[in-house]
Amino acid sequence: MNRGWNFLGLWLFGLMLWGAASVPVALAETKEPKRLAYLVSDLRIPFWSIMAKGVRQKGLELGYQVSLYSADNSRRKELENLAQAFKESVDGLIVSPTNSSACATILTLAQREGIPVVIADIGTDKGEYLSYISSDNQGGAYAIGKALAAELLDRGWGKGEVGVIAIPQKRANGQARTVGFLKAMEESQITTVGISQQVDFSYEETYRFSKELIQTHPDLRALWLQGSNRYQAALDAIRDAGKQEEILLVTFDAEPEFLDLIRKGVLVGAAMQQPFHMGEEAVRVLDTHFSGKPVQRHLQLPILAVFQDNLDQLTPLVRRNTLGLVP
Amino acid sequence: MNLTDKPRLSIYVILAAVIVVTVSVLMAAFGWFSFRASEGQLLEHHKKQGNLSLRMLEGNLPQLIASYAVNDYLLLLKAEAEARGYLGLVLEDYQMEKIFGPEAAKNGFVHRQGNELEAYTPKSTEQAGLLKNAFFQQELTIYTGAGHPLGRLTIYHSDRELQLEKTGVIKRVLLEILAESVFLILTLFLSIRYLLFRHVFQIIYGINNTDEDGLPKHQLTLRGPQEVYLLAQSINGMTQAARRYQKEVINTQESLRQEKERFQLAIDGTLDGLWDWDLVTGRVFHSPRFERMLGYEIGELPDTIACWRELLHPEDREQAEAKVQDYLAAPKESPYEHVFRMRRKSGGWSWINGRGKAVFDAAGKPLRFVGFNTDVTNHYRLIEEHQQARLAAEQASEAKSRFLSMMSHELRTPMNGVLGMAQLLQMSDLDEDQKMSVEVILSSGSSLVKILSSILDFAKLEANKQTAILAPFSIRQVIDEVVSLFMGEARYRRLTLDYRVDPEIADWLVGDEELLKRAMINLVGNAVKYTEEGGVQVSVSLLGEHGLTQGLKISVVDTGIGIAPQKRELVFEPFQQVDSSSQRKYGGTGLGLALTKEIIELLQGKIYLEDKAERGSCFSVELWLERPTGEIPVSEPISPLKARVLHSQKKLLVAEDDPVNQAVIQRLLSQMNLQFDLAFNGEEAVRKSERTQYALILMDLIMPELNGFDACKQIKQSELSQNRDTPVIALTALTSETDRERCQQVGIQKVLTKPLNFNELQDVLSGYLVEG
Repeated sequence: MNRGWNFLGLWLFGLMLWGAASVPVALAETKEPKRLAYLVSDLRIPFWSIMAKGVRQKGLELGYQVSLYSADNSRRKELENLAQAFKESVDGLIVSPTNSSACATILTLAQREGIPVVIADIGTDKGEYLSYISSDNQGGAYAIGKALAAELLDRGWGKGEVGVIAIPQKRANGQARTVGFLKAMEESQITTVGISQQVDFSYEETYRFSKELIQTHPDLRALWLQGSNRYQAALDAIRDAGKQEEILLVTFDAEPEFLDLIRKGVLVGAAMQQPFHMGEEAVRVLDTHFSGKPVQRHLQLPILAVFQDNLDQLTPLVRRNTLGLVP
Repeated sequence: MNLTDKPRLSIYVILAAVIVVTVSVLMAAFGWFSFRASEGQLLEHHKKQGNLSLRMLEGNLPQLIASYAVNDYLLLLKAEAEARGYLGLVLEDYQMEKIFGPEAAKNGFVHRQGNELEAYTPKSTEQAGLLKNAFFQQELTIYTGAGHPLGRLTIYHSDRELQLEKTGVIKRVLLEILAESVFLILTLFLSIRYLLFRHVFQIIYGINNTDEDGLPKHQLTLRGPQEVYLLAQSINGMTQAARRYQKEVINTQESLRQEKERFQLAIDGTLDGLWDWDLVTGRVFHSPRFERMLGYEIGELPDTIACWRELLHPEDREQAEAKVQDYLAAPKESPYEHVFRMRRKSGGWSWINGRGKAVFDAAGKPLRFVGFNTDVTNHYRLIEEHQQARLAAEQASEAKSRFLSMMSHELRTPMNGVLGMAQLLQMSDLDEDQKMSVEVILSSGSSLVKILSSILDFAKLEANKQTAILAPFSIRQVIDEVVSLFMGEARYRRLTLDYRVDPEIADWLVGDEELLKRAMINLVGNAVKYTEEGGVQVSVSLLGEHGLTQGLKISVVDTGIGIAPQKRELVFEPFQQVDSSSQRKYGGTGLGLALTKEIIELLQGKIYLEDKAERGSCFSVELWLERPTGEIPVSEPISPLKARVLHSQKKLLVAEDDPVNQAVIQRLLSQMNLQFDLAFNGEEAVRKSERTQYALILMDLIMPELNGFDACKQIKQSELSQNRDTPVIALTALTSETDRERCQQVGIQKVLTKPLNFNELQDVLSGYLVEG
């Protein structure tokens, strides 16, 4: 009889312990979703806004509360955004900094707060981060360079020169693009001239650089813009020089109208990054980290080198991952 | 301390140590000043360098700070910190402070020694501590072009260079110490060796080159520096002094050896035992002779003072120890000497005469006590035997004296009856023949009494009991009385007897009249006795005078039988007469001249027999007597013997056991018309005195039942309660001074000696009984 009562007592005690241990789990289950912040240099730039779209969509998909902070290309605002994110007690940061130097500052401050950071596209001069997701700029540039060289050789312009209007070469992505492109040119024995670095990324700047290249290099047969947003300035300069049929234009990155321009032959091709996909990958990496699994420190996404030949094939992928056109 | 107790340091080592220490101190001081100077220079250098950095950063930082190019200006700061080697370079960014708060506003780098630059972390206590100990720091406020402050830059200068400088200085100083010490040591060593030790070693060689006595064979050569010269000179002087001292020591040792030998011979000769008590260690040395003296084998006696105490005779131990302690209590000039007995090994006792002398320290504490023990057992045995013999002789002499005294008493007592009755008879009416017969009785009785007195006086003198009683007396009267005493006999024998006294001799001189009279009686009596025809001449001449003292020479010259030359030495010996035939012929005891000599010597004079007479003899006495300085007592004239009738109603008591003497005194008192009671012994006298108050008690001293001394004592004690004090006069045949003193002790006022002189007795009775 006594043994029976003892067994019942032990069973009730165990039940109480199990109940007590279950309470934190229940409370945890009822907690608010983790907060993610995406610090982006300038949402006015399509590339970044598409990436922000990918971040948000993937974040929502995985149950995160996502805040977007655009620095509008201002370092001060970028830092203020960072401070705001700290105030909101975000659990993870995705950063596309104004530049790699500013990124180092962000990483330092985030490290003090103990917040994991995933860098998207623009790298950092230094600092600790969870993962760096970038595009294979060198591969993409090489691919687009190969395509341009093939086109020039097809047209019998193999002796012509190719001018380069580059993004700041201080950036890692800028250097990678230059290296990949020049490698392709060298392999095709095509001469590249006058690598001009953009500073303010304005139309005037791009037009001026393009015009100077056209004027100073009579044998110029192609221009390669390492950015996409000022492609019109280059086209205008070519047009103003009266060499629409003599000078080809290839770009890095893409604009929504590029699919049509390539199809029409205005652009020979474009090396298209996948910002939407990159945004998604950034969230996925954080999610993997939050789940306690190891993540890849450097994740390099392929560049989609789009020409007339593969335009149709890649259009769906371009629309989603590059242009962020998702239902 | 012995020089070989521990190894001594070489002078080289000591000098090297002194040099090293001196150079170290100097170089340390130099290094310290050098370091301080370097520290100042470094400070200036750092300040200049810091100012350059501040100017450069002041130009570049504002734009970077203003554009929030945090990483960029950090790169700049890092580059500057690395280039300049700063300990820390920290920028407080006011703009970042506005956004992120003060903690995020401070950025920079800290250079930890041995590590790369690391980012400045405000929360790091380690960095804070590092920066706090910076050599010094410089600060600069960064402004915008419009003058708004953007931040504050602080440069922390590292003291690493200072530490390196310090290390360098230390190394340099150590190196210099080493180099200079080695140089100085070598220089000094070579100098000292050449200038000093070369000569010192020669001195050492000279000192070690010794003869068989351990002294240097030769004089040291005087050369080298002054100190060495003086050293060699001193050593030469010491060597000479040592040689002199050595010679003295040898002489002293020889003297000591001879002294010791002499001492030992003396000890062996005297058979004395030597002892030496070391009071510090407590050990006692006993010479073999001393041990053998007590019958012990050599070394058998323990070397402790307790041994001496144990061997002491129990009767001598306390006194002997006290004697030693008293001697050792304080330093003394005189040596210790004491005789005690010590137990021999065989159990017997030896008399030991211990003599010694102690050595004391400055505080008077005895350190050593050395002396001899002499076995004086034989000597003391002889003394004991002598003492025993002397005691026996004294006892015999005492017995003789007692015998003579008793004989005197026993003879005087009946003589008192004879002479008393004769005197009573003389007082009565007698015819001429009867008077002559009575006078002969009295004369013969007196001679007999004198013989008795001579015997007793000799006994007294022999026992040294006779003392001279000095008082003024007339020498003329003494001579006259003595001559008068023998005048009747001289006439009877048809001899001339006269005397002559030098008129320069003082009438009164101080001396013992009775003794002198007795001596003169003997001399004159002998002269008359031994003279058959002719006569006797007594003369007193003046020998000399010194102040109040006059020297007298009394000569008694007779024309008698004389004394043979071979007998002259014997005339003053007792019981000696010229020949036995004269004793038979003239009678006498043979004590007269011996007694006379004793009396004269008692009076500080001398007596001798002069060898000048052709016939007869001449005895001379020389005396030196002083004249009296006070009044001279006047003697009353002697009244003729006649019974005086005293008209006194007072009653007296006569205690006398002898019936004859009772009869004599009874008749005398009756003729004097006195009332009296008779007691036959002392007890009766005591009883009667208790019952009757007498005016006077005449007490014989030797009586049955209770003698006169004790009877008088009891009477005096008994009368104390009755407030009475009856005078007691002793009538006794005891004539000794002891008896007279005893009489005084028991309260007897006067002593009259038997046979009684009636004139004297009547004077005494008159004095006590006649009133007024």
